[in-house]
Order: sequence, then C-alpha cells, then structure tokens
Amino acid sequence: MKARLFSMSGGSVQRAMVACALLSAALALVPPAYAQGQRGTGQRGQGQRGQGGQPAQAVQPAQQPQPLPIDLFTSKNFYKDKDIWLDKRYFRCNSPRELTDMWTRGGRIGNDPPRTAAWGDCNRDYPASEIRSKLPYKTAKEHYEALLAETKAAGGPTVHTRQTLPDWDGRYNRTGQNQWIYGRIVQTATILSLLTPEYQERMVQMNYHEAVNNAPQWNAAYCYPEGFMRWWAEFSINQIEVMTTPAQVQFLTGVADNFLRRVLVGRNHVQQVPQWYGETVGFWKGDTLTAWTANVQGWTLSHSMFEFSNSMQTIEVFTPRRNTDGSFVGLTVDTTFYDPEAFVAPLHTVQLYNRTASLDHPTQRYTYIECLSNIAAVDGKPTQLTTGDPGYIDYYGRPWAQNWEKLEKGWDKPEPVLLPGIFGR
Amino acid sequence: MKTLFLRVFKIAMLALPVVVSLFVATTPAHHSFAMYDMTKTVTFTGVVTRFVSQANHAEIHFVPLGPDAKPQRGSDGKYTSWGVEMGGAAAMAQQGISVTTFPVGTIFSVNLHPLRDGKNFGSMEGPISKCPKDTPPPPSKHCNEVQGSTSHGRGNF
Repeated sequence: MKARLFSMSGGSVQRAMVACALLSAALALVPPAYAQGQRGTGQRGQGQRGQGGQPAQAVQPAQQPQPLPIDLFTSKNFYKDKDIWLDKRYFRCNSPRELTDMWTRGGRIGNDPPRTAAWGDCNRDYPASEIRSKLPYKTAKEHYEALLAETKAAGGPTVHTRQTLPDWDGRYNRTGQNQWIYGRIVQTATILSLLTPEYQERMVQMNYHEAVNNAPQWNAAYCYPEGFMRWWAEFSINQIEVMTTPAQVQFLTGVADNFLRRVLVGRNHVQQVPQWYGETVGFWKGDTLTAWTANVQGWTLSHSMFEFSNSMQTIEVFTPRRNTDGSFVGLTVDTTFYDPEAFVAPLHTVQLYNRTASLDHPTQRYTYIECLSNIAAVDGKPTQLTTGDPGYIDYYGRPWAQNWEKLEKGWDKPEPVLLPGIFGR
Repeated sequence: MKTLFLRVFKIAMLALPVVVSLFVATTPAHHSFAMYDMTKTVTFTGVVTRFVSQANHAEIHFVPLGPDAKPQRGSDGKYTSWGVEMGGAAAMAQQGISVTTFPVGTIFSVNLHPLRDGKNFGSMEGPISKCPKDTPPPPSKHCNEVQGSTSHGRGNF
C-alpha cells in the first residue's frame, strides 16, 4: 500500500501510547449515559391505568462477581450450558446490546478474545416482572375483545368522519427514553428468562455468534426484511409519518428499510398467509385508537435479543398526550406482545411519539429507502464485497451495462475518463 | 511493509482515544462494524471515481494518491481502487457530503478504519477534507493542509 500516511517520531509514539492507555482506561470507566428507565405510563386494558414500569436502577461502575467456571466466552459448546444460561454471570453481566457491541465498541472484547471479554454491570437490570404484561389476558384476541366490549358498553366504537377525526397527522419523533426492548438496561439472562426453551436456545446462539464469534447477522446488513418487531427496536425507525383517514391510520417510517403499517378501522383480519409487518385492524373510542396486529411473519429482533414466531400478535393502544393548555403534543403507544411460542408470558412496553411537524412542512420529506447492500455471508460472517468480488453489484454504475460489457471483451471501445485531466491519462 | 505497519500502528495508537470516545456516543449503523478493524485508522488522499448515494451507507470510491502525489496504479498498470463507507446518504448530505458536492474528480482526504480482511475498503472516521478543485496537496500532505480546503462532517480532521 502506497497511501500517504502521517509519520511520528519514536518518542512521540511512546508518549501517545501512554496517553492512549490512560485515556482509554478512563473512558472505559465512564458509565453509560442511559438507564433513564422506561416511562411509567400505565398498560391499557380493563380501563385501568397506572401499571407502568419502574425506572431502571442507575448504572454503577461494573463490579465483577465470582465468575462461573464456564461462561459464554469460555464455553466450548454453549448448547451444553443450558443449566446456567439464566445466571447473569454466564454472559458476564453484559446486556444484549453490550454483547452486540463486544467487538466494535471500546475494545471490550480485550486483547485475547474471547477469553478477555469485558464484564458488564451486574447491578443493572430491568426486572422481568416489569417486562411481563400485568393484564390477565392470555391472547391478543381476548385482550382486543375485552377492550372492544368496554368500548361498546360506553356507546362506541366511535365512527369518525373527516371532520371529527383526531388531528394526529404529522411527523413524530419517538422519544429517547430507554426501553427494555432496546436491550441496554437489562441483563441478557433476564430477557432469556422470558423466553420458551426453544427461543432461549435461539437467543443464546445469537449471543454466542455475535459476542464470541464476531459473526453478527443484522437484517439490514444483508437487506433482509426488518420484520415486525423491529418496529420497537432502538435504531430501526426514526421520524414517523402519521396520516389519518376515517378508514385507516397509516404509519410510515424507516431507517434501513421502509416500515408501512396501517390500522384498518372497523375491519377484521382476512390475510391467509403471514405478512412481514402483520395485518392490523382497530377501532376508535373517542380519540383513543386500539389496534390488533395478527398474521405476522416470525423473524428476529436481532442485536443479541430474541426471535419471535408466526404466533406473534400485538395489541397497541394509541392515546393522545396534551399540554396543560389542551394542545396536542403526541401519542403514547402502549403495546402488549403475545407470542406463546416464543414468550413464557405476554410482554409489555410503552413508547412515546412526539409530534414535531405537520405533514405540509415545507422542507421535511420522507425518503423512500431502497436497501442496497454488498455485504455477503462468507463462511458465516458478514463480509464486505468490493469491486471485482464475485457477487458485487455496482448499483450506481449502470450495473446492467456492466453485465453487457462482459460480452464485449476485446472490443475496441472508447475508454471512459476516470480521473481529472490534471493527472494525465 | 514493516515501515507501513509501524506507521499504521502509530496512527492507530494516536487515534485510539478519539475513536473510543466517538464510538461511545456514535450514531447507529445498519450493519455491525465487526468487519472493520476499529483499532486501526489510516489516512488517505484520493480522487473520487464514484459517489454511491445508498440510503443506508453512502460510499465514496476513489483512487488514492501515492507519495508522489500521483494516482496509484497496481502492478497491472490499472488504477488502484479504494472505497470508504459513511453514514446514510441523507445524513451525509446534511453534512455537505453528497453526489453533488463530491463529484467524480474531487480530490479529498479521509481517515478510515480498514476491513479486517485486508480489502481496499474502510469505514470513515471523522470528517472529510476536500481540496480546492484540481488542487492536489503536495507530496506527504493531505487536503486539510491545503489552503482553501473545506471540511465536511463532524469533528476535526
């Protein structure tokens, strides 16, 4: 490689190394700035409120307990360690997010991987009891029908016209409060404890191959579908466009891929096959929207979290939030996840959407995403393909023409000008 | 080769605290950075051959300039090609890095973390420095040292 590089004297290198070591050590001790806890808005059902989650414990500097004789980073076969998977020390107290980032953030994997993998904070956790739904329902159908019955008893559901529709149209940001579903404030073992044995095994497989084997399989890397539950993941969606009509409420968002979800008001589920983002029906009770999603294609939340099955169904309750003067500021979205194949009990989360702009904003646009990737799984690991690699697609270089040019070898053709004339030809 | 390794190592050691601090609070990606060696940072000056406006990660493909300030060629006489991956195209455009501001022929300098497998591709670290049009830096210099250059992206080059 002949690229031009900066040079330093030997003495300055030594000084830099010392400074580097000190700075790196200091940075490693800085507690993460998250752990704000999940906002405690009550779970919706049976007309009750106030069952929200409690704030997570503040993150303390990591305290390493007595290690297990074998853990994820020393095991020769994680399948054989099933009996100790639910001990947080098996994951060295790392959260799912820390497992995902083990090889990429702050050198946490250490200098003799995987043996030297760092410990997380064993005092940090978000209790499983706060992740489980506190409602009595076993299925989404039961939950939906109870809310619908309650609504009917009150004279509903409300049938809105364009004139009476709540003014929810606009662009929203999901607020930055931390969530257990982001995988940062919770022990990996706690999440595992909420899964059925088969899905525990799938999750530990993911944990191992991300944190130990350095072989993450993120959906967007390969332009796989994001999948339904990624709607609730930390980085999979950004600004959300909400558009309401009497017949449906549409949510459009996306970062690596597009998410388009529609609550079909007053309708029933009719899809005969699973859909990547499910099929959602709902009803209004005044200015509160209840939505039931079913017919979901099972997939993965990825990032060292868990997979979900085709049995996944959700009940979402969208409630407007207002300022003291009554003006609308956003939506509280209360979700209960039902997946008896994957979860030992229904799970629950609350997220807040804050409206930041109207749909007629002069400059804000939704950018439709075409997920393009030149990353391929090579020997099980995501590998960046570059020009000339088999399978590489030069998306922005007329790839169709590049295919034809393979049929034009040896032809006398005009040579394209690659570089400015100042460098000659 | 040994000299090159030492240079890369020196740069990596200097850059490590910065790299670590940036990644404590960096923006998310659409794929893991596991394929990149985040402990190494290499500085290139090159000439844009293609700007790839991918939604998830924009890329600049370029021919690096060698120590003689001329575009590098391989043993086959063809130009050497490198690529650098950045954030999403829309996010990069907001920082002044787009297909319109970095057209083919733009001379620029960038720091990148190279792929672990040794291929000519890396992940951008910090901002890009753009040389004035048709004005490559003198030998052993980068665009940030050229009068009239502009910086695009967050942080200091």
